[in-house]
Amino acid sequence: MGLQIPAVPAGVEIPPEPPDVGARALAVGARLLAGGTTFFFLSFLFAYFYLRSIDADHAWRPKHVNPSTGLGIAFIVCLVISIVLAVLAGRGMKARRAGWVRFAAGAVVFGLATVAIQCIEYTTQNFGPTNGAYASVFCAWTAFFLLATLGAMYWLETQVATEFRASRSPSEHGDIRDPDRLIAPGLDAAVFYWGYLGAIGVITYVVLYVI
Amino acid sequence: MSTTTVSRTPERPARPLWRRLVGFNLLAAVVLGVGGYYFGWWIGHLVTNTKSFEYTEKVDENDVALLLAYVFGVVGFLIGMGFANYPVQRLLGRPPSLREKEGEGVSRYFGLCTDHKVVGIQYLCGIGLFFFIGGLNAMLIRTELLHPTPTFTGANQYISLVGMHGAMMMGMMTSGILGPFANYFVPIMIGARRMAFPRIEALTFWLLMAAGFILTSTIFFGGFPTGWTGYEPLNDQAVMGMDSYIIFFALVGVSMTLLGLNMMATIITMRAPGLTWSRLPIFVWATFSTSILMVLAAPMLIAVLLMAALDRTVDTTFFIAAGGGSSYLFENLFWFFGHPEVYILALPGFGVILELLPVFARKPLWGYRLAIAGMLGVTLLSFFVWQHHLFVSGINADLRPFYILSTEIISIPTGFIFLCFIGTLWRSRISFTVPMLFCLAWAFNFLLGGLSGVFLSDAPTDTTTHGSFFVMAHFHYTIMGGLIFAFFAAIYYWVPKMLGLNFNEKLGKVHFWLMFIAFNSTFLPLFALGMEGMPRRASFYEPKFHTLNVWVSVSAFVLGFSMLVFLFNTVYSFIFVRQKAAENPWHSKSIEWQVPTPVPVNNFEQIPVFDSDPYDYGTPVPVGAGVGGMGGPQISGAGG
Repeated sequence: MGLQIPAVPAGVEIPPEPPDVGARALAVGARLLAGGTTFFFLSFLFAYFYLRSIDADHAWRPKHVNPSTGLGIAFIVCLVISIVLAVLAGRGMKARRAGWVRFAAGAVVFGLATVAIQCIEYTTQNFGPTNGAYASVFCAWTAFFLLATLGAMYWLETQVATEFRASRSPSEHGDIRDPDRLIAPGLDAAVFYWGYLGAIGVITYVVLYVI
Repeated sequence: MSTTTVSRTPERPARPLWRRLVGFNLLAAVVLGVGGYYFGWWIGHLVTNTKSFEYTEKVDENDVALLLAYVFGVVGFLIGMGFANYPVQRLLGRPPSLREKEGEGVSRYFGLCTDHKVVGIQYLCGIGLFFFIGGLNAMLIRTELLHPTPTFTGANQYISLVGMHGAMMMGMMTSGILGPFANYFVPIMIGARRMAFPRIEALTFWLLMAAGFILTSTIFFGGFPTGWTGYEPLNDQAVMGMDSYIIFFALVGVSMTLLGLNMMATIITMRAPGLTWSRLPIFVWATFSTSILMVLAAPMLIAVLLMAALDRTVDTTFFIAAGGGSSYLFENLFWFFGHPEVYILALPGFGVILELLPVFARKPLWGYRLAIAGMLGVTLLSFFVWQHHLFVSGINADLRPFYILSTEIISIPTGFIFLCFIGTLWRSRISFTVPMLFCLAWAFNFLLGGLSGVFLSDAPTDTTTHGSFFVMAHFHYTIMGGLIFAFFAAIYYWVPKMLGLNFNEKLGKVHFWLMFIAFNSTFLPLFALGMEGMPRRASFYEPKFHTLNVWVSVSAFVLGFSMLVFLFNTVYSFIFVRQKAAENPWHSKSIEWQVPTPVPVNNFEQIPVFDSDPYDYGTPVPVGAGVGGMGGPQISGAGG
């Protein structure tokens, strides 16, 4: 293979990596993670329609199995607000507006609120995972969505925390040159993933509550 | 033009032994893993309100306790290894970093290390260990089948042995080539210094090791009766050993997803200047295709196993017909992963073979773009064939033609690979080295596996041979003949670069011929046994099959002996003889052979610039490009 490897004197220190390499990896990584997440939740979507269509032993959905519409609406409202705030944070960051951190923090708060609402739902609903196939799909699908939400909130929180740290003690050097330049791509990737996951959440809500 | 690469690792004074034992390392991981295991076991009993905390008591009753024990055990293990440190630091706003424990000592091979070359060698050893355990299971299976009636195992133990063998091989070997060789060589092949996400790379390895030990632990909990597929409703009815299978395969799924994601992100974002998509080595293309399957198919496996775990623990009814579920849901979701899984195993083998052929044929790879089209075609089509596994399970008859057609169509892109294989060998000057012998054997084996697959893709023939030894012979020809022969080709080809030591070639050839002959002697008769109606997964069979089964068992023992020859060669060559490998013993033009041996921590002092296509054997090395100054042999005109 014809390649050119320039000669370098022995003992030369290799400089820290430019941040744009990590930025590209973050952007691509977020999109690939979204792809994997899609197929994970597709399994539950498939289970929903498959089990609903065969309705084995007429046990798809006993009459008393009805999740709380009020809590469902609260869930979806918090989810949408969180995504909107995250998108605003991402745009604010790109426009170099200082207030983006508040939007991002708000997105985390509302994202965690969806988790809390779902937990309330579990404790107040009049059915459990054993009450038929719909109940099984409902409990498992929402539980794993809840876990994915917690992961996305962790990701967003790290961006907020990094920004706070960067403003307190800038120019901390490690093996990445000027690591603060990764805050924007990091936020961008996190916002993309949360937006994508949020879209899955909306589909989850529509399938489990509306259809 | 010379290349000198220098490690950036700072020298530090050696720490006392006690200080080295305290901290985040393998010892701490084992301690926290065991602690986590018992913590989970205790929590499990607490939430299920059972009084007993005895390890062996009520062994088939508390799935919650065992699943929680495994989960907490794995979490404790990872915390002990130090995998939680960085996420906690990031939570507190610490800046991102790339490297961890990339020192020069031996200890880096036993812990979290972000050097992709260390991870590659970790994978090679770890997967090798479980490959031998899986092989040992196969020897026990064949020992049992020496007699038509059960002798040393009962039916339950036998089916557990079959399940452990299958799950071990299908689970652990998904990373058989990507784990050791893609982790080690893909960054070098694309001119990068690291993987895109180095910690995730290390995580995939340690998750896989945890998974392997969990599967092995199933023997303490009664094993599992489902074989490697874990079918419902048997899955739900099985004893606690089934939980080991579920957690094992779920962890393998997570490891696979992350491995694929990391590989794709690396290949997409970290290629050196000049390395366009049409200049990528074919092994990198194979890695990329496999990674697509891993990222998209493995999450389905995780999901379906989580559903199965919930059915067993909190009594959801995904797969229980009386509760509105369906066991066909499991079969559909499992095979939506399971068939791409076959190509997750096969595609890296294609990549290895096509990567090595030009080196030993001294010719450019024939049909480079055709090979890429073949691999991407297989990748795409593998998502549309899964229902052929359900031909006899009550599938709607109207669906059969589509799945017959899609399965038969997938042989077309696979045929592209063979075409490239033949085209590259055509009028070439073949060197019959040990890696090349394995490549040639791959073609023979995989051809038989592929041709027998065409019969199985047809619903009528599939109906008569389903569940028989015919199916088993088919997939052993594709998986062992396709993947394991490529795996050994890769070992003999690349390990001299990885470890800087040569294998003994004579012993290598003894290993090859024993393995090739014994492999065919073992699995070819299984086609006949299957056609005659001998079922899989049964420890007793009709006396008329006895003679052929004895033949197969003896052949299998020779096959097992060939692995011992390999093991002996490894120990003899690497511990006793220790003959240093030349930096480019195969006179390859590929970039991984142009860097020094051992490869420095940062691979390249400066990122290389690519200015031509790969595999330009037979053409002179361009002036001003190449490998001068590396101490290796000059390869100018080597391919002529």
